[in-house]
Amino acid sequence: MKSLLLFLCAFFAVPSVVLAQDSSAVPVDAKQLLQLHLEWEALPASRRADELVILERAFVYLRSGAEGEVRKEIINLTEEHPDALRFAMQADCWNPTNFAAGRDRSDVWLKRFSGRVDTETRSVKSVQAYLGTAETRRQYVHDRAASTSWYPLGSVLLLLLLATGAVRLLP
Amino acid sequence: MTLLAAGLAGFAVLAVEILGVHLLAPWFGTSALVWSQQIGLVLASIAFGGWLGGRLANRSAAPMKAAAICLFVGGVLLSSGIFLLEPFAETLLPEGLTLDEAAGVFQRGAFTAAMLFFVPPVFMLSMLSPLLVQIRSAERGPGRAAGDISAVGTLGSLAGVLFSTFYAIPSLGVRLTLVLTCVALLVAGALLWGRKGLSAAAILPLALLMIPDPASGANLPVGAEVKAVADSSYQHLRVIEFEDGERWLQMNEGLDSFQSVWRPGQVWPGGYYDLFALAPIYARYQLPKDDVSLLKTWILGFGAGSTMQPLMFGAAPLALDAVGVELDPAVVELGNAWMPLSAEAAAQVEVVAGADARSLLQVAGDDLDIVLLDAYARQFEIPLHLATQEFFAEVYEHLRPGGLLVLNLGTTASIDAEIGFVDRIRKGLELSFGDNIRMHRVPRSRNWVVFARRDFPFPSLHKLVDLLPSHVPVEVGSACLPGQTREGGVAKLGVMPFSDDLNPLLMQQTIEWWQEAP
Repeated sequence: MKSLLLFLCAFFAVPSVVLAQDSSAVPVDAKQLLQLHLEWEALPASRRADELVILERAFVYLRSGAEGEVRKEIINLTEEHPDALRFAMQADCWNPTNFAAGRDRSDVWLKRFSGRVDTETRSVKSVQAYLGTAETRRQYVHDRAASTSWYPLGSVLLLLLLATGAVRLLP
Repeated sequence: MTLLAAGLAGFAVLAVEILGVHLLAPWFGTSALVWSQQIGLVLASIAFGGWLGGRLANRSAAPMKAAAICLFVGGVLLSSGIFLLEPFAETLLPEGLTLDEAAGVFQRGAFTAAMLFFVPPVFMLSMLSPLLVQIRSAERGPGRAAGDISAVGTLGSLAGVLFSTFYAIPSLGVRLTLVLTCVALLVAGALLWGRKGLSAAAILPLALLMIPDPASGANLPVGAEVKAVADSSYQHLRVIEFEDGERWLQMNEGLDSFQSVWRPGQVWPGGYYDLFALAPIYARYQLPKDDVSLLKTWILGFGAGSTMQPLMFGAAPLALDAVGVELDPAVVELGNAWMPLSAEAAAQVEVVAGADARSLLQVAGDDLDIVLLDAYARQFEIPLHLATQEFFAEVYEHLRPGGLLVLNLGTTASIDAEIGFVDRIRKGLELSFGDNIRMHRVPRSRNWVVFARRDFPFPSLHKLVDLLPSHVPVEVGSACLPGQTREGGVAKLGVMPFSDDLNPLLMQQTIEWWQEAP
């Protein structure tokens, strides 16, 4: 398709746990990203399973738009984890078919983790607002389409009216 | 006069059929659904009008007068339709509509617009034939009269098709042609009726031309300004510009889609275009480094050349020896005027406009490094003949060993979709390229860029890191990650490729588009 369906969503603040790491290693081009990925893959299994490593990886993939990798990483964390939930929420923004799931995740996050740092809470709320707007928008389009459902039949009836008029009025 | 009236009516009916879709295009697109609806409704109204006209002809005391009124009223209805289409579409279409939302609205809107604005005039004009036969049969007998009217009417229709497609649309414009058709109907109707004064009504459709064409601003993305508009035999085109200077070449209904994108002073157009930088890297992998200085590349669906910069970046230090094929010359003209290639890019490509990609490919050599396919007939419809196993086999024969076919595929399916058309295209590729297929998901979009290589494998991720130059956008790297990549042929059983003989691609894409709409 020649359409560029970019789903832009309010971006998350860096998770506080990741800030403790060297987050300046966010890759700036494709080569760096792939090098970083391979370095991570080369880590021992125990290190790869480390929560901080998982979060850092997920964050980097999120920044670069790699939805598939994000979900692969956070699948190792349960949805009880606030950052895993946030990352899943962000990835949900990239596909309208996942908007509803993203909205649900944001509701769950705000119920369970609203005591987290302000930046995280604010960013979740902005994502929630985005998804809410998107959902409202889709509903609006749906309702507009539905409100015109009688148009085709109405136009057929108009044509029949025209035909009747033609038969009656033409000499 | 009867023959003239028959010819004029035949001309007008086909002009409405062809030009009607072009008038609808900026609002509702020109998908196969819209075309089929337009043709079907026009044919149905021809049938209905003819039937009713026959009943009228039998009982009419003044068939010439009745025929004249049908002509005149047909002109009035057509004029009204041209004028009322825009307010109707503005009322119907939500602001900021996106392509993935549009299915239901477009289908219903296009149907209703055709019923309200094109069917009534066609209906009136179709009532003419039986009346004219009745008139003429008094002198010539019914058989000969029917033959004469039918023949002249059909010749008029032929003229309507040819004139519309080859002269009216590219030279006169859709609106002007329809207005002139209205004028002819009104004047002819008034004269036949014997009320010459009514000819003055022809001023009304001419007055429509004083109103700026509303279609140029149809479905305009937020923040964009229209810079240029053109109508070709294939589509309605426009160039829009955003505040940051980015320009899009859009076709038909526009929305959030573009045919080509141009960013002043930047190498990377963004989105799937950036992934084309991988093509030269893949095409040269494991081949001797010093045997070529140019990469022979064919770009099918050249558009305004958005593919060039990423390809050149990936090919460096080699240059491209490229041929860009674009079906619609109007696209190339708009591209040259508003989205010019850099001097370096222009020196590396010869653009061939007005030719079909598959036909022209037959004259390509058999030593191509890259064939890049980025051709779309309408917003999301890949030309059927460019998605079949036979076409892929033809491309395979034109590639040298190690050469690469690259396809941009847009889909409405989610990343985990069941068998969709993407898998069927992959299956078609597999029949020629075997397992040497690699698909990358474009980040934050629903596009896949598919690479199929003749007889050589793709580099592993480790190797790709070595081969990739610096400064390629991070999203390209993201697309190469394992979670965003699919390798090889189709694992699922029962997946059938598209073929020249049996190709439900259009239907499958349309269904997937519908399923995603709200």
